[in-house]
Amino acid sequence: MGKTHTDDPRDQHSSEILDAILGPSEDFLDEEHCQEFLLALGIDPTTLVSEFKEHLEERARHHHSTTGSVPNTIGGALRVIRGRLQSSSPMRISPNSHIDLLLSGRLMQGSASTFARAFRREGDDELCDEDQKLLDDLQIELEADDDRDGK
Amino acid sequence: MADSHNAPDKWDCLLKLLPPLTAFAAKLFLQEGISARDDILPATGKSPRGLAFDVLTKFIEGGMSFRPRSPETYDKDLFNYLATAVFHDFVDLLRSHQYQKTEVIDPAKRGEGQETAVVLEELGGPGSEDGFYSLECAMLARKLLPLVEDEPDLKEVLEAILCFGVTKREEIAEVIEKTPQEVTYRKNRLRVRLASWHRKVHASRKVVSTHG
Repeated sequence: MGKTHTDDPRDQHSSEILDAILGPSEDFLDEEHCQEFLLALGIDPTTLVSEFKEHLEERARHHHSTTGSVPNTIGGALRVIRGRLQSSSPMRISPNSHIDLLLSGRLMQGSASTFARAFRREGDDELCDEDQKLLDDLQIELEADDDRDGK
Repeated sequence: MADSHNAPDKWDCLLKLLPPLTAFAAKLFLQEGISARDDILPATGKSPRGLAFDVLTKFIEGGMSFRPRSPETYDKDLFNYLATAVFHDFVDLLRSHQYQKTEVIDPAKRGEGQETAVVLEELGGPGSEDGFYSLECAMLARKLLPLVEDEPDLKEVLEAILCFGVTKREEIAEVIEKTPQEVTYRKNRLRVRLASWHRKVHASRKVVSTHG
């Protein structure tokens, strides 16, 4: 892979020195190193796929506005990526990086609402059986307390 | 080509390469930030993420045609293939008119009424390397060594590279009398350290531009 901006040997040497300082690019194929590096730069590796999806959607809109249609390649890519995003788990990240995200506060932004949904009734949404049972048990306990107080 | 969308392994691989490719693009920005006189790549309007996304989009639009050396090396080969494209786009970015506004004065060509003495003075005379491998290394040392002042083991690696001009892991290990594995470990930390520095420089620049 090209490492220099020109063929000048001085540039090549300086590029080699910088490469030695920053390490070989193939190191990024190691998931943990890659995540650590991206986090240090303020890039959240867990959101890259959804951001790429948005980039493709923008590209599709651009094609549509200029040619009136969206190329099959982009349409197909969007279908695949949307499918992957629906089925993927947000927890596919190394424990160290997960802790980094948690401490930096960025993880909470995405997960807080998920937690809240599990314990709160939202409009007419049905609760899962476990949550419903918890609420029913609590209601029975409260009614039992009221009955005792009444007596 | 047409059946590439029916091959889920290719998609898995492509999406798995999003972080490494973004990291590679970020490394190019960081590298330029370190070696250039300016601390960041100004006025390009491109981010490492944008650079990586553009290359992946072009690859998808082109039908994802790619031939690995072998099925076993598919990931690595595709990464190298796409990283090369990212590199070329980055070079184009550097050559773009906005970034090229920096005037380079060639001391060898004395123009009418131009004063080259200042430029030569800035470069320094023979021996200005101060024990570093080259003038370039001395300039890098001036910028980078203060960043790792509080971490002697990282400073040791940097000094080995900049003073002896060694670039290979084994050579660095020999100079600092440690194992190659230890060098890898320190270099990973060094990279993260420099990335944090770059991020801070970016953040401070944004604050300045907001108020300016």
